[in-house]
Amino acid sequence: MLINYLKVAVRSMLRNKILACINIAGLAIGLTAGIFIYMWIQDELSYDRFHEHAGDIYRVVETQFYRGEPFLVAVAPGPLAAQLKSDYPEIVNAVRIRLNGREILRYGENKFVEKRILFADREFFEMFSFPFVMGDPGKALSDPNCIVLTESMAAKYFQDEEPLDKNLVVNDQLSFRVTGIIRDVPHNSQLQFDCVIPFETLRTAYNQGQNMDNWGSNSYHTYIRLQKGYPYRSLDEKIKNLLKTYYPQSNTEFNLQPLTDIHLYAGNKYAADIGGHGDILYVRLSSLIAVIILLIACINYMNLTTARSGNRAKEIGMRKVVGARKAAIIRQFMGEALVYALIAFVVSLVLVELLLPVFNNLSQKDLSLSLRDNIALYGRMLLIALITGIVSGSYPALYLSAFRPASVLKGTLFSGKKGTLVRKCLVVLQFSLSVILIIGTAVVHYQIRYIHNKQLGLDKENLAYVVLQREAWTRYDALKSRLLEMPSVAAVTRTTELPLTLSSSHSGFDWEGKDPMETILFHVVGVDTGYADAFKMEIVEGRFFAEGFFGDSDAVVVNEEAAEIIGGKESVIGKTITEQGQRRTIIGVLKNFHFKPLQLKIEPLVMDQDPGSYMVIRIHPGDIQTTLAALEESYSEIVPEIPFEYGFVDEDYDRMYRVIERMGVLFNYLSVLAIFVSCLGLFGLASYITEKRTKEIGIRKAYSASVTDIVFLLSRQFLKWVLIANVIAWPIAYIAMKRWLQTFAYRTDMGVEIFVLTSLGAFVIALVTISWQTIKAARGNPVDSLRYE
Amino acid sequence: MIQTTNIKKIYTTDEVETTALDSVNLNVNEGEFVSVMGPSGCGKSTLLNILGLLDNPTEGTYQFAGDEVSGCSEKERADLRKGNIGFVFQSFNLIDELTVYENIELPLLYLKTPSKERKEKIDAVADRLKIAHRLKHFPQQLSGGQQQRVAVARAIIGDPKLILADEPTGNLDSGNGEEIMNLLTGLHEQGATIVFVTHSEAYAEYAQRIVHLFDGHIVSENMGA
Repeated sequence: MLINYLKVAVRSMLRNKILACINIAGLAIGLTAGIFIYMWIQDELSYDRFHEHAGDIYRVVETQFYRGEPFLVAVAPGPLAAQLKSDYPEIVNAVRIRLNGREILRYGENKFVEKRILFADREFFEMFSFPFVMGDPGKALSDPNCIVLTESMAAKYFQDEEPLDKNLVVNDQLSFRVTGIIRDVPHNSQLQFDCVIPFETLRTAYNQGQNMDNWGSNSYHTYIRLQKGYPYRSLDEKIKNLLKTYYPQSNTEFNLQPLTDIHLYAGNKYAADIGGHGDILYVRLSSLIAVIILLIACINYMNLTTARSGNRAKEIGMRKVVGARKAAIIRQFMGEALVYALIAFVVSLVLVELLLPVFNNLSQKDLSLSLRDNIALYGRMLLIALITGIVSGSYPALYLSAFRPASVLKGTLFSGKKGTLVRKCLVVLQFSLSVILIIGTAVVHYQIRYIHNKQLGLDKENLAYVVLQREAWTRYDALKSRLLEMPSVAAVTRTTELPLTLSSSHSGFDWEGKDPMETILFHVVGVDTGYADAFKMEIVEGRFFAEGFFGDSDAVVVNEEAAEIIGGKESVIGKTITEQGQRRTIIGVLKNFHFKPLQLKIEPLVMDQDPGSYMVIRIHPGDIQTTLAALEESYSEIVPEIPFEYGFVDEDYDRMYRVIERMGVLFNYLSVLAIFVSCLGLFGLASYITEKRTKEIGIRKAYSASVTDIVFLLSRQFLKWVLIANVIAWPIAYIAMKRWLQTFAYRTDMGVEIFVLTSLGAFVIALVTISWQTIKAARGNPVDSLRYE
Repeated sequence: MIQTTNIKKIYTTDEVETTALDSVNLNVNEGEFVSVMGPSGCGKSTLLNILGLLDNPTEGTYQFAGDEVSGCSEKERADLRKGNIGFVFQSFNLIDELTVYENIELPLLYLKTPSKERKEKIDAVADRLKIAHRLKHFPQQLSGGQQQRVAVARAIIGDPKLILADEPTGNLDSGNGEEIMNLLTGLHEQGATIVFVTHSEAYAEYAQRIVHLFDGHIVSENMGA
């Protein structure tokens, strides 16, 4: 019997090749999109789960309060880890880490700037599973001057030499003995580093001892591992107010954050967090979109199969006449849908394999389809295909198995009124989903455009920066005057932190009239006199720091937000604020500029004069590459011993929105796919409906209706559905996208034009799709169509 | 074999109620050959569908081979049809995607007959109906007469108790029509019970008894040739 089903399925596919192709194409496209999204989501969900104790590791984070508002911080005081471990037996171990950038490491002639150095407590490798290739994980960090390298880093310095027990020189001062080699850190690890140095080195060689022992300072990421399966919420409750014991003036709370939640749930909600997070919102959105596209593909299959069921009616009738039960017919058509789904699955695997490089590039991931590593993945993809097949086959199977043999075999066919209504609803649903996707995509792009065009309060274009380390920092003046001689350089300034990524903040400011109960967090940044000009920032009141002004060393400049907090409606120029007893006079107010991603509101900022280690260079627009080469040349002449390290402010800015941009591009592709699959369905349905109305068309033409009349007559019906689909889609898309936009403190408006244009687009696409069928039907000879009946 | 009492069939659409059959009492004995005649729309096919368990009557009782079947569910009717009733239609209703062999095989598949036995049966019936050389062809490659012979082969392959034929000669020329009638007569002579619907006075005469239907009523019954 199975063979009989298969034979019929395959032969009817071959007999209706176009229909079969449309069906398979629709399902294959749906599955391809589904598989890609599935792989992407699986990768996002895999972050930090490779650690043996992943389920029992937590990060200790802080909730600080400023003006009653919670402020989340990813770092904790230095003494916390040891204290927790000694006070709570349920904690197996506690580890502090700090990621440091920019040390110069050397072995013989091999010298590189290392940006991903991890300082970690001794038990780091017991808590986290980074497999050792050489050395002993238990002892690798026990000696103060030792270092553990990844395989890539070892190869970079030692090439073919045996790396163990060799010495690496840091900053030409300290010597570190290699005690272990670990595998390269997998991409799905939140902690990304190339080497590990004992944490205590921060005390001995980096002069951080005082900071490390201070309960009032937060500088270190602290992780704890609990006993297996220990309910972390009960410990969370116990340590919540722990800081009060050691630092009574603070109302900061500690919280535990599961390690496996950090990648997707921390977002950019935590200050001083380690970057590169994903976002659960996008994981959920993508899952939803995958389901939508697969659903559209399934609806396609349902529509086409039931619309074309006339071809199969006789067969179904005959099977029933000879004794087939309804269940047998259901099984047969379910099976047929599964055959389609499996063929589509094979096609989609080929597509996925072909498009994988493109997708990897788009998503910045390194996903692979190699069977060796992914047997489980293949299993689940097959499962997705089977579910798709079952969903696709469900309605056709129920619909077809309900045929009454008495009527189908008589040739009168079924009236099919109910079936037509269901099909119309399905097409409307399909188009609604597509329109929602298109509107969503359009809004995302509007927001991206908004981000790019947003007046930030500073001009981020044509700004290069150079990192000043050690000798370079001391030779700033020489560098500056040399660079200013270059015709392509407009201005040179220096700062402690780049303005789009400010992270230092301070809550100890006081002024006359301040509510003593209130703690307010001010961002602080050190600048020099040319700063405001170089960034093209606007002074709204007073003046900026200037050369030769006596007393400017005690002066500060604040942004509008800070001015409002300090002075309310009144002018703050000349007002004094104190910081740990030191008096500072406000000399100017800068127009607010964005120094955080646009998801966040502008916060108060205080600037003082401080020689920072970023040299910022405003370049005249033009040949950036030549200017950059000239910059490097001048730099190397003045500071030959330190490698030249540079960046562009606008590139850093764009990097903050890379996740959103990537989602934007992904949404583009997905909406195109969705609308394409929907159109396949519409095409199939149009051919069916025009066929059914052949007689009507013949009669109308016999009574001298023109081709235009007929095309209009047929199109009107389809356009009505598309209109209904739009009406359904609009409010849903509006509510959904409004919620998404609310994740931005600064956001674009959802213009009416998005909705109008999307609808127009849907109309045009639908018209073009059905035009081939309708025109063909309208131009037919009425004699043929009447005889046909 | 067949005993209907006061069978009534009403079709209801949104606004119209049509009485297709009204108080039909019909008995067909085992081994009998009955033809049903009447103008278009008189209810012949409706009656045949009810007799063939493709449809339930709206009112009345129907005993098939001694069992009351008028209230049977679709599933029960499907099981009763299987192996008990063979159908022949005016438009043949062969499945285009299946070969002649596979078309004839279909009832046996639902009867779960083993493959070897199926082959023997099909070969035997194909010989008898002179279509053995056509077994590998698809229906479209056959003439109308040949197609109807295949349909008859399919109807009798499961050794049914009853053969129902709905204008089996309607789409055939006189030569082929006669051939089909001879086939049916032959089957009757071998003991089959046959009810067949026709427009043709001449073909109706092949039966032992002719039932005349008009507007859903049996208006007369007379013995045939």
